[in-house]
Amino acid sequence: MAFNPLFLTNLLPRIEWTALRDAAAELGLATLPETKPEITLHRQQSRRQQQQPPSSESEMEETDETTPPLLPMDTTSSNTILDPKDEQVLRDLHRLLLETQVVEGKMVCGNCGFEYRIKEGIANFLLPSHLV
Amino acid sequence: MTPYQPQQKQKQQEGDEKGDEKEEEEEEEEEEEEEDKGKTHHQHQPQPDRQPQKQQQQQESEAAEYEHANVHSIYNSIAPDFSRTRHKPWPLVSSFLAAQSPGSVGLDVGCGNGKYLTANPDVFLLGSDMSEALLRLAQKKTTTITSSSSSSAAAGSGIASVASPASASSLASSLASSSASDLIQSSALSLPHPPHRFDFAICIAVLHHLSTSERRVDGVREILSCVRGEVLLFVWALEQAGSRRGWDVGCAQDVMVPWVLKRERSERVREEREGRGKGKEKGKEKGKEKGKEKSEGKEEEKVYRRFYHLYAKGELEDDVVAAGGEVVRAGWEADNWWVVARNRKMLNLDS
Repeated sequence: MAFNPLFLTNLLPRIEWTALRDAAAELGLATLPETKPEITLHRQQSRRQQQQPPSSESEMEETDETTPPLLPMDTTSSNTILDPKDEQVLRDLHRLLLETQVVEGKMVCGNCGFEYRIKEGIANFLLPSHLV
Repeated sequence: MTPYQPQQKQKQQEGDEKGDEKEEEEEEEEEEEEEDKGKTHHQHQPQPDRQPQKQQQQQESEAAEYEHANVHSIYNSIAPDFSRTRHKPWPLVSSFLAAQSPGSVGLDVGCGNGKYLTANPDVFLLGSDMSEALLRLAQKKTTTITSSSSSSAAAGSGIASVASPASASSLASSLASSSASDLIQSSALSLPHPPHRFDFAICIAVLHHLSTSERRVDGVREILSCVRGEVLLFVWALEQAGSRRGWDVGCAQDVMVPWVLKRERSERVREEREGRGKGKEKGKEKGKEKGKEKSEGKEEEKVYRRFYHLYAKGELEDDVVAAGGEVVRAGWEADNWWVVARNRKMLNLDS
């Protein structure tokens, strides 16, 4: 899948950062920043923006509080400007979230210690019948 | 909370199941499906309304076992054959997915062979299914392993981990996902997700495989509990007088639907896949082989029967309400009832 800054920027508010960071560290993968970065895509000056000048902050105010802000569909990254540092974070995220898979392993429940196996890339969350 | 109780008209319907699998209109595959002379089976009686808790638990586990034998294991047996007839997305599902904002994260509960996981490349879909065989087919569809060295790279040892950082990074470089999706094996009745974490969900042709009305409501409730936005549900309709089966109001709602698996056919498919087919024009070949099958008429075939609950008009909506949801919009399309639902809790938060 191609690198898509808009997709990743919108995905960011949905990520539980500590969990992702810990999992990545356990896997020996990626160096994610300690706290969730705040990345906004800045649009290049366009005719549309001259007519509607609001900054990205005011756009965010308009969105529903219960849902993370979503940028309108703008497809390609060609009309967005991305800070090089932000771009690196997004590229790391792309690699981690879309190009990395645990092929064999297990996930251990933090409450009961039950181990959920990951076999050939698919985690099995089915409980044995005596635990249902 | 009163779960929906379907009419318990247990009329026997000889010859009701004329065809086999046809809840999806897949014209080009029609000739693959054979007439089955099976009768409607009612091995499993839906549960009465009230019962002591212990008895209820026992019946729950009986229902689960029943579904394991009459749904999940069947799908494992017929997966490749079934999957070949499941490639055309339903228009309503595609447009529902297309309407989701880029970067949103959704569930595909009962994803089967994963035909919707790639429908909108701008959303992340987490597909789940009971059938490992179908999940493997979905995996093939959504993951491209670009290097053969990856398969042996990771021997799991630690917690959620691959063997070593080195193998982990080689793994990362050798897996290229063709879609933003992931797959897990889980039951729709027990999804391993935090409440309202997902933006939306689809659950297509799944709930009708649950064998009691309580479990069907529980299924809706479970999906709604994971989502803060809209949920699209599709189930097979009782009202399908125009279909090959001709079921309609008054027919039994709990039915066994046959899937005919022919050995010769699956061998032929394998040959075609491996490029040992006769390489003729597809249309011609199909016609010819259809004739051939009829004249020989003695291939090894096995009939697999899956349990279905056919939803009567209004039943899915009632289930949504019973599960704490609100119906946003609903309708009937191509022998299926569909509902777009939201969790009432989330609606209150919004307002």
